[in-house]
Amino acid sequence: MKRQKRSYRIFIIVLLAVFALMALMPFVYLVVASLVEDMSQVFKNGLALDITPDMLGTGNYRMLVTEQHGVFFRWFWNSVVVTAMFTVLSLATSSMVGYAVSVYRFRGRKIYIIMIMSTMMIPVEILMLPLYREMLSFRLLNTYLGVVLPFADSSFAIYFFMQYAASLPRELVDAARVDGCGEFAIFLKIMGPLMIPAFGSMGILQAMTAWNDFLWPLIVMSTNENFTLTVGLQTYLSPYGNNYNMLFAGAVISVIPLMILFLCNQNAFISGIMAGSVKG
Amino acid sequence: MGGVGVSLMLTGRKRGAAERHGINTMRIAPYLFTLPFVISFCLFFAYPLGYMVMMSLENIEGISSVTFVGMKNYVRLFGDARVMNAVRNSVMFTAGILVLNVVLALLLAVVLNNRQTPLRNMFRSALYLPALTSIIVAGIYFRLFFGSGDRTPLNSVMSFLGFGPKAWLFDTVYTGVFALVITSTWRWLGTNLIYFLCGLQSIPQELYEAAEIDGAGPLQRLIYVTIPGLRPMIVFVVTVLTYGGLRMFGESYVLWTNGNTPNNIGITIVLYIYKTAFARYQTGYAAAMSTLLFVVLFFINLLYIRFLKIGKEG
Repeated sequence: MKRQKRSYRIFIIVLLAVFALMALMPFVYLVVASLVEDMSQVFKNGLALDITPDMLGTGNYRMLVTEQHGVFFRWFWNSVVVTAMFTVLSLATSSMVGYAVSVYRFRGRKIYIIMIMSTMMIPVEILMLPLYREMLSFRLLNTYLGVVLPFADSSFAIYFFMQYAASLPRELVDAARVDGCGEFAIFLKIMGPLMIPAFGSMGILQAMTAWNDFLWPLIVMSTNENFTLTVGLQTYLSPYGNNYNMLFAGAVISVIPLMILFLCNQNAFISGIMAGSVKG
Repeated sequence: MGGVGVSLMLTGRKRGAAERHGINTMRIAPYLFTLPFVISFCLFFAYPLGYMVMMSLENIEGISSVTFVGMKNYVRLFGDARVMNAVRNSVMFTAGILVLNVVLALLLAVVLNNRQTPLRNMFRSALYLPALTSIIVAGIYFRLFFGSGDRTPLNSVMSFLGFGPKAWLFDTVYTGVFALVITSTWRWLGTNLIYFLCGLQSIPQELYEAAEIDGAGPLQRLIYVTIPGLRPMIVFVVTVLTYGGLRMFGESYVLWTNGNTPNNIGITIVLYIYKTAFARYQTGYAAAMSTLLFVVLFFINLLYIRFLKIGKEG
């Protein structure tokens, strides 16, 4: 029995180690490759692994600063702004809607719920054509707002806040009313603060979505200095030879913010992902 | 409904407060709270949707030249071999990620949920890390991983096994889909793993104990306790993956530079829509494709809501 247990443990560790290795190898490779200055050495028709220490240096990172007046950091900044705007706007509107639908019993509430449910998982890609035209006529193409506005108020986030608000004690709302508190004050001062864990989880999810979003910024942003990181980086993958020096270094830098966020508060991250799933 | 009396009493008592706050009353406040949603629903969902259906009935060239063509775009769609290619690739891709992600994520979740497994948190984090990357970062790596050189890790393994090296991205439709499936699974597995871990933790421990007393072995416990207990989560993961699969765009766009997929390899529904609209400027035709895809996804959405009974009172 004991021996069986031990061989089980060894089997499990090997299994997990293999998967962990597959998950982590691209990171290791990207970091190492980003330090190789002469890219012709790194790969010919695909990646090769024979990299020796004397090939390494920080030249690619310096290149990011100097090439095209450091436009890479402009992209980085754009991603920061878009992510911040998207997250704040999304949390503010979704929490209000989710709260209202779950706490109040008002005429039309059912219709709201149907509206929220029916758009819950309709992806961005479907409406990209009419939305592009719409942004064109609003003169929002090639602007931060154009990237952020259409998808900030997501049904997914609303549904999440609906569930969370429903779990809060409603007596608090009634008690506050008795004390003469207005409805908005109740939300801002009493129920809002109780929803802080929900803001944390959803905030992380939305920030991740915005930071890594690709298709919609690709459609909206049309000039080089307005690109977000994802859109900017892929311009280095041009049909006329790939600029792998900047691609590798840029890719590494683009992952760092979320990586730091994740390593610093893993539990918030994990509970955020879990909160994003539907509890049956 | 014991709360009715109380709340009636409260509204009665609240009259004074209501006058003082103007619009800040229980009757009006919910409509103000939900106003952003209504505006965004109309502006960024209902209107574009209607606009898209209208566009799908038109022949649009550039911005200004528009003629009404009725169902012509839809008819054309069914005779378009490239559309069929894209649909086939997307469906194969979806099937691939469904199998890989559900099976592997479930397996890893069961292992990681077992208290006897060492270093559980470390492995969980390691397996989740790829989910933090964008498709661009993943694409940069995997287009090299699937490169045609004979010294790439993949082709080294192929040679070792006695097969020749392959140009994975340019060989056949199947190797193309394979490359797409692996690239996506690398990024998505961690998230699905967490979903399943979350589902496993909601299965009461007593069920396992009871099963053990009844003499159920590990495999029987998996089949009769774990999988039925995970049913809602499995449905959720399958739905999310189906959406993710049918809407996939970035993977193809990055693996084949700027979405220039060779012949019928690697082209997906959304990539084809994108190219039709933004490279060939056949907006009406692209709108017809989007409309059909919308109908399909909307139907899946309805099934899903039905299945899980989410949104029901309670």
